[in-house]
Amino acid sequence: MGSGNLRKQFEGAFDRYSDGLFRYCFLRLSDRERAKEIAQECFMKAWEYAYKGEPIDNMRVFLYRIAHNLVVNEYRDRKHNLSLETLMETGFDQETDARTPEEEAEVRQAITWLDKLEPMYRQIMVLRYVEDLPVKEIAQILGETETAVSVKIHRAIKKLQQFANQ
Amino acid sequence: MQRDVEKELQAAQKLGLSASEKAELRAGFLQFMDTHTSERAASRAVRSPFFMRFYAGALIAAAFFVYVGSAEAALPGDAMYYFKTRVNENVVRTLALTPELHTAVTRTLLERRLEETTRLAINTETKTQEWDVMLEELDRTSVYTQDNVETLIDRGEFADAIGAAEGQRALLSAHGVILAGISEQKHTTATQEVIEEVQQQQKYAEQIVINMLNSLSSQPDLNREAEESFDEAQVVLKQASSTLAVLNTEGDPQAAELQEVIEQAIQMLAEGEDALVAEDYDEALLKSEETERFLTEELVILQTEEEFSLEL
Repeated sequence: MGSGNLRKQFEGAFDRYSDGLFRYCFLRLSDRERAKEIAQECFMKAWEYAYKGEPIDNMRVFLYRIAHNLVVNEYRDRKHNLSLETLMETGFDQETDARTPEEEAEVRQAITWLDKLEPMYRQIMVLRYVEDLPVKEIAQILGETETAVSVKIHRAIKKLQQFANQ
Repeated sequence: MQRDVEKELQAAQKLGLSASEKAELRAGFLQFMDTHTSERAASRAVRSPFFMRFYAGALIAAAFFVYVGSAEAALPGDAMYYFKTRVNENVVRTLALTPELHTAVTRTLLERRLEETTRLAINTETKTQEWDVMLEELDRTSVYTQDNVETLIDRGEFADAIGAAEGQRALLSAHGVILAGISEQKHTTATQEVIEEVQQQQKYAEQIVINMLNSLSSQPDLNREAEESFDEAQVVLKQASSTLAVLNTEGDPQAAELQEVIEQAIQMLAEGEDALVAEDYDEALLKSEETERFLTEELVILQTEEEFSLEL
């Protein structure tokens, strides 16, 4: 196995997916520093796996699946669901996350919407509409059927529509 | 309304790492890869005789072989050799039900065949019939090893599969040594040169095919590397074909037959490369294995025919 080529693949994967993984963890944990650590840990775990010669069919799915598992562990350790309100108060990085007051307002609005959802629905909506992942990949990441994912997306949209109409 | 929801949520895409945060994480990850590459390479080197990992299995297999120790030292030509290979070893093969045991038994059989080849080679009075038996047993063990390689690949144990494939390559090299030994005694100078040349090319092609097998099995994304291997193997075989063409014009009858074999192998490799380009990795792997087997088998057949004609 050419470790040089593998390394290049991982460097490319880091450039492509690190922002998304960080965002996914950030929106689920409301903890910027921890989200950064977990995003990095995802790549480390994937590297260890691939370097043993194990095949990775879809790098993006593989990385998000690791992220999902690490976030679940984090939830378990903290023993309570994390509110995105914390993120609203402390989590923004002024350099990148909201460059103008309008953009910051839009991001805050998105977070407000996500915060209305239970964690199960929130994670799916983040993967679908923030990370733009197809239903098939979301199903692989969460270990659910595509039908179950589609149903949850539909329910989450209904909830958000009810919230918007209030 | 759904579009409104989507649009509102997509605004969160503006969240992300700052340039400095990303650079910091990237540097940390690159350092991690450096550290873990060297550690991993070291651990692979340590277990390179791949039965290290299956030490327990190896012990069980060894117990079987000790039990039948009376026949263990038998060589082709000895009365006990048939008992050793066709009775004792068959029993052990049948009992090797787990992959670990299969691997351990493979390793033991490989070592036995190589040791027997060496002992026959040392003995200057080894007869052609004894070499024939040896070649047959090398073939049987090669097939068994191939099964083991495939099992390990299926199980995703690529490092061990590579170890087993290397063992098989040693076996095929022993095949080459035997052919060389026979050619020294039996053939004319021109034919001997052809055989030596082809043996060298065969060995090189085997190595390339095994490297390709490793690339294909452990990392399908490295198809460019595998493609280069296919190209390289074809170039080597084309060189062999050119050599044979020259000898053919000089009136060596066997050169024509050998050239035909080589040309067919080139065609098989070309088909394998086409499969690789079409991302049909299974087919590519199959073609590379077929080519390897074809080369080995055809050379043995030609060798045997030559011996037969000389004996007549």
